[in-house]
Amino acid sequence: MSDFLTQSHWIGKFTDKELSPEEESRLLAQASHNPLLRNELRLDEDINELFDDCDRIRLSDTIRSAIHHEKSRVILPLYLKIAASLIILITMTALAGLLVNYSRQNPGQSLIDNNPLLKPETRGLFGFLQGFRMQDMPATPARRRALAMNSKSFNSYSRRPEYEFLIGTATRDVTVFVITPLPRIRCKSDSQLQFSWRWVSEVVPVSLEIIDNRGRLMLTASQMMDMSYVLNTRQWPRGLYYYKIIAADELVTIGSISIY
Amino acid sequence: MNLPYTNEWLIKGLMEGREPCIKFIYREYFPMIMSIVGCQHGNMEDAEDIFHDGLIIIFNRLKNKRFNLNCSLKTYLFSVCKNLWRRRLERKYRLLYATDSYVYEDAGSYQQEAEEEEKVEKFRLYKKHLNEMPEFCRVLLTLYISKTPLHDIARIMNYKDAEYVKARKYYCKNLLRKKILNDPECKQFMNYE
Repeated sequence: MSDFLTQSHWIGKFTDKELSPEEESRLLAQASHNPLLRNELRLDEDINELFDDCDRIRLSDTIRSAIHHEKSRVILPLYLKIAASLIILITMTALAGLLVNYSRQNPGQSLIDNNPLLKPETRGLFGFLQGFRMQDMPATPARRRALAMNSKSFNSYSRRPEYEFLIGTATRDVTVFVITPLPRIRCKSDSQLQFSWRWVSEVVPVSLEIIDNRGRLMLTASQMMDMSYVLNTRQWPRGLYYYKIIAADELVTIGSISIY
Repeated sequence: MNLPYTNEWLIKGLMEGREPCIKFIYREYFPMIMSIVGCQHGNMEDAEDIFHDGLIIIFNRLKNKRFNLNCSLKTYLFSVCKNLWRRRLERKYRLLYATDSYVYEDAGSYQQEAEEEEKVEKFRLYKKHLNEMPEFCRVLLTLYISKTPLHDIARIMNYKDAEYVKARKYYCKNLLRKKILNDPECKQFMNYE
């Protein structure tokens, strides 16, 4: 018995019908007494029978690989897909909004030139905050103006320090008081801005001057005897402007107009 | 994306063993099989085995020219898999199910189907053991199964001659038999002594 079990190729030869008649009868005689050998002979025949069809084996492999492949695919549920799409959409909208807002405020210069984060300068720890350095703060209006004019960050909305501290103040001994506009106003680029005033006692001619933040005279309306003047800002570029109202050669008030 | 695959296309793809077709069948029909198996004490692996065996049974039947499939593949796969799983449960837990709980594909061929299904299950288990064999045995037996001539196998495997290939084949088959006989899952359904 052990002879047949150890010499396994006899079983294979029996299934392949390669044993001589004597060997075959000897094997069958052994098998009639040995259930383990009978099991092996049946199993060998089973294997031969079941593995006879190559197409079936190929199909089995294909099914297994298809199952494996499909299982390894990560399929997101619909609600996660919608959530991901919304997050991407909101992020993109926010970025686009920031870009548009930033470019409107700086029409004259490109983004990179004005962005301290994109174009870092060696200004110390808080260099990215423009004008943060306290030791550089100019003491006089002239120094402030010189610094503002020379600053790389000067743009159409940069403030003129020598006017800024005068905004809102009014000369008391002049016979004119200004009703509109307010000292600091913001308006759109195509709006109409009304300047109006009243005389306290006697009527004196009133002049209006508008200068931009670089000190260029943009408009002058002199010797007006009316009580109002309407300014159309349609053709005006966006930026910061200062207006001066003068009565009888004396400055009445200064204000700022921010056109956006 | 669900493409409008026709029943004929699926059957043809199954017969030719085309992978996109099998993937489509898996994607579309496997949840149905999972529901059959899952609601009756089965798990994912059981469902995959049932799916595999169901397709092999349909493949075997379709190869038989006398067999005529007169319903959709989905319906037929459903009935085959349902009966497969019931019989497997019956064997596993020795439970007796009422006869009307079966979905009969053909009422007169119960015994024949049971034998066929048992063969398919054996085939799956043997195939599993074949895949777990050492590399040289697996390649050798695969070549032998695909009816490659012995001298070609000798050339591919770098053996000296066909006689040596035969000896190696007997050795590998012996190894395979031992693995199968030692597998408790095989013992469960084999009526060997």
